[in-house]
Amino acid sequence: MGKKEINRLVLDAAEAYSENPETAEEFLISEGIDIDGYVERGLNDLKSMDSKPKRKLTKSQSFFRRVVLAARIADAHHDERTFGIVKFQKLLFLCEHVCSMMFYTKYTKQAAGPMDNRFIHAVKTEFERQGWFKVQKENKQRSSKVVFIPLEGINGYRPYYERYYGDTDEAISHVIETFRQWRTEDIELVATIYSCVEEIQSEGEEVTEESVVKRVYDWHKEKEKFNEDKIIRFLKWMSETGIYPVPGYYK
Amino acid sequence: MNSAAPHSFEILSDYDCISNPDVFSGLLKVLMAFAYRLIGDDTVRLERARHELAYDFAMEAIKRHLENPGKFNSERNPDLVKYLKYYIVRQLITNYKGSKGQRQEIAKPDFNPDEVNAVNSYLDRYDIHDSIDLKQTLEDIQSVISDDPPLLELFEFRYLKEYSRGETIIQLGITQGEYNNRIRRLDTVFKRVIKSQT
Repeated sequence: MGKKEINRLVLDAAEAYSENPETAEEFLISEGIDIDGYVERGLNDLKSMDSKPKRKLTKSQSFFRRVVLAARIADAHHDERTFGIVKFQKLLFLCEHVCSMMFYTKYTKQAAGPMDNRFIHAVKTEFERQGWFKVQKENKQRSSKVVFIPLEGINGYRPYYERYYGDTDEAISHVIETFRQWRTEDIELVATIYSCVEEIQSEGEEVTEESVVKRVYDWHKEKEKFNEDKIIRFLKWMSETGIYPVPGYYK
Repeated sequence: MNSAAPHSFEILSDYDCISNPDVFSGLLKVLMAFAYRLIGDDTVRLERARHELAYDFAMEAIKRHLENPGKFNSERNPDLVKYLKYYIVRQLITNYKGSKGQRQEIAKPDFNPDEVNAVNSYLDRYDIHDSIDLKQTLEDIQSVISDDPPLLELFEFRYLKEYSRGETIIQLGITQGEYNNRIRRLDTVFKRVIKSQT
């Protein structure tokens, strides 16, 4: 007892204060906030936003931005013992989804969770072409692992990263750091749950522990390696931490 | 906007209306109040004033939606206000807090199977204030409201028996407006208890 209940109480309070503009205004004024001033400022900000031209990314622009994001992930994790191709994919998926990035993607359901196969193959080539990383398979006694070896031009991605992700760096770094020491299998489960919740919601169904567990098991036979208790525990953690695709709680 | 539910502010259709000054004004107030409470309370140390942060988060949510309206799926949940609150504002705050000196708090969900480790959620600020004992806080709240039956029964259903908001409302036989009233009163008690501990 403690953190979970307090978390819930604060979220309930936030919801109660913001029930409607009247309760919100009353609350903000009681906190000594000049809300009318903020409304005026907001309207001005909105006007200046309207005057800025908006541009939709082309597929090649989208691809290159994803490569840059992938480089940031590989740069942060390449030294980690747990980092391989699966963890790399899952981190990319989570960064793109948690940070609401609008890219051209083709994620499909694979044994190890959501995967954009075409991009993963293309990014390896692009990393080498840019001189940022060499991606190669390393054979060990009983297994093999894909490693990301930084090349001389590794820092070349950084100016692009600054330009594309300067505003969202905090959110991206948060995802990258959250999962730094996680085992591949666990981040695989997080990405799978994330995708299942999105799927349930897109079908207009209610997200419940039962519905998520069912989706995870239906995802692929491989998911039987996760017991129900673990799936529910991860789902709760995701909901509490906000690494979760929805409005609100699940029930 | 929906007039069927007089207490809650919802935008269920005509989603372009948020640029209308009247709608925008209401939306900004609602999002700012939501963000302001989620950011924390007086015990939280922040780099900028809370109201400035609340404004930034509220405006960022509105801007993100205006830039990418396709991201909002009205078939999934038709209420744009809920989407902005829970999908964008809450996420922005979680990310902000997670990235500001709390990384050392991050652990895996199965780190301790006996509890949900909301370790990098916004409330972990309280963990940083070691002086605050969360279990004690809940006990103190319970003690303060022990002679206030409406609050006590709400507290027990919602936080001890873990009923959902809807289930609690049904159990208590109250309206959503009354539920929110009680929550606001409970939050006042909560803030007072927290303040007394720091």
